[in-house]
Amino acid sequence: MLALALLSCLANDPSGVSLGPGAARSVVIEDASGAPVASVQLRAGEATTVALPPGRYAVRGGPAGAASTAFTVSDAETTAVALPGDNVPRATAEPAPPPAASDDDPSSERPTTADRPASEDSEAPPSWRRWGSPLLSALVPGLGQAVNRQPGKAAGAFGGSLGLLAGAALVRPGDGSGPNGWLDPGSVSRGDTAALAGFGVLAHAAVALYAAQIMDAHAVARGRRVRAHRDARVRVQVGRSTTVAFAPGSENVALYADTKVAVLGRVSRRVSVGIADLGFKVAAPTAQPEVELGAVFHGGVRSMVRLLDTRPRWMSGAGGPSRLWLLAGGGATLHTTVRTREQPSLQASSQAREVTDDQTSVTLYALGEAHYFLLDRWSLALVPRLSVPMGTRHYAAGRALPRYAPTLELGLTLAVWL
Amino acid sequence: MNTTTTTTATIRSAWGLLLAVGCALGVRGQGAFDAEHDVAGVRSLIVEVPATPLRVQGCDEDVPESCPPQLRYSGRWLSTGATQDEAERNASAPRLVFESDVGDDDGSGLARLSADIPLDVEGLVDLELDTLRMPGTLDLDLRSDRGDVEVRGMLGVVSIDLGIGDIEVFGAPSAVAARTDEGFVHARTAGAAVDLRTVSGQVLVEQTASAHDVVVDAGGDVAVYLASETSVRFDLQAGGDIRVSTPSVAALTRQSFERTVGEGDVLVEVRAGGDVLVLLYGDGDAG
Repeated sequence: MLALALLSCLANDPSGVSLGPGAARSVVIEDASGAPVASVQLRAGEATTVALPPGRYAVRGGPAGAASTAFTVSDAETTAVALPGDNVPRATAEPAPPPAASDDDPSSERPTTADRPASEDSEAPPSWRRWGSPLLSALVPGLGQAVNRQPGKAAGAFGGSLGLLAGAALVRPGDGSGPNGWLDPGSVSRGDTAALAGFGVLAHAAVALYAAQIMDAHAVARGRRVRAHRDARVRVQVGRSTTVAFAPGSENVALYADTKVAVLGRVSRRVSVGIADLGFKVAAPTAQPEVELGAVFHGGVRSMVRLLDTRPRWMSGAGGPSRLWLLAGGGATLHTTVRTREQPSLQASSQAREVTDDQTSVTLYALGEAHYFLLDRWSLALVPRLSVPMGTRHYAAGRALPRYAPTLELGLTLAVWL
Repeated sequence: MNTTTTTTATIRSAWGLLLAVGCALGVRGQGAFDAEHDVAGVRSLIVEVPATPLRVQGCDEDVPESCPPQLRYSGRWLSTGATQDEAERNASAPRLVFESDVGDDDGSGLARLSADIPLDVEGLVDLELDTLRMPGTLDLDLRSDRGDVEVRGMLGVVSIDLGIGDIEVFGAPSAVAARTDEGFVHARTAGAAVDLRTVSGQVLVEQTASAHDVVVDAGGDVAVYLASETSVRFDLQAGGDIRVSTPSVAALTRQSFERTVGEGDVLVEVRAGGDVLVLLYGDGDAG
């Protein structure tokens, strides 16, 4: 499902320019500051599509002294450009003076050679790879990278995925009797503390690598570098957090896991607020055989501040946009647990009656988020969170954390910035 | 019921996990209890308890000094809490409840021992029961989710329904029905019909005296030691080998075996995912 969600969004990002058809020639595309961003070899009579981020550009090429042609690339559109001398009427080419750099224009961020994918230095990759390579990576980790002609990265993604999954399976602790199988860390109810911690880390890393290599396949096939979407007004994120905590009984620990969704809207350049921790889980306590159903519903409010979204000057020398963002914030989550029990009657003439209990409690927390953008609008984040439940906090399979117990959770979040 | 609360404070700081997957800080506690209930007039007792290892000992009414004719038990609630006081509070919240319909107009001599765990400590407490003593003449219906169960000295019908755990029944009950999803099932009885099922596990049946019906359905191997084979109908199916070795029958086959000895009054029906072995009690290892 994660892969499908990713792919459905990846398929809708076709911004770029279509050059030609015209004579065979070599052209150079420059950004608003006049820096070359791609060198393209055009074939006679064929249109060539080059993926570009939204912004102003100019294409220069052909006979010496030929004028450049300026054009603008809009978000999610492919701009058709006719080149001087081709004599083919095209829709949006705009003969204009060379573009001037602007400090306010995000497209003026000059890409370095190291930032640009290698494919930008040659012919743009076929457009089918934009959706084909992530799809292949979703099916077999690393396969999309192989299609993108990155054998080293392909081997790394495939081997890394195998290694992480094998490692998680090897260190998986407990008696294996969890109701949901080993793929659900929450089902591990007993075991060695170190093994539980190792399982949590390896399972999270496997998920992160899986999502990252899908997005990477698309980014490479698209043929341009990733720029974090700084003007996003809303972000939607889904994440999973875990903590290892003691369980009742002698020397028993358990893995406590939460899967949740958040939707936050930007209220100023750096501040966002919204609803968070939305989710539910089946919490049928296994301890009491007469319990028919238990469920936990949770949701709350959160406020986040974007602390860092540019490269520090000490790092890059001149500052600039960064794919790594650091955020901090806090919030409160409401947990409501509902439990239905059947109380059979000892009297043969009486029927069993259902008894429903419910309990609501608040958990207060502070958290940090370290987002790394794998695509312009997609990021993976590590999320450490310190929380204090003000009442018993119930988890799946009948586990719970006691009230007032300080809890450090570590989570992994996938976010889309809209 | 007398409840005394003692607390053991085991602070698990687990600082090394701070950089791994996180941790929660807290304290363990426990609340001990013991109780006894009059079971005069009770014919059948339902024991419905949370996950706990459980040992049931039936008492011989003909030897009253061996144990009193009451239901008697002891144990403790293990708990967690953020502080020592919280852990103590949590350990004292749940309780075991005994109820019976003896004295009711339409009562049928039924009694039940079950747990009452308030929702706000659900998941924060674990039950640890010591030996459950009761008159051996009672029928026993035991239900639990997890934990090994051992029953001895019962004369009535013994019924056990377990989620995960081993089941062992020893003695001379009139019948034994036991089921577990995952675990080893062992019944060593004198003259009891047995119906034993385990989804994932092995089964061992030992009839020490007087042959009765044996019905077994197991995911693993099954071994049956019969008290006698003078009138037996075998209906055996196995995923592996089937070996029957008695004075009247000697067979080594695979998957399926059917044979009637004498009138076939006693049914030995086995469905096993693994191997099946049938011997006379006293032969082989089990005897």
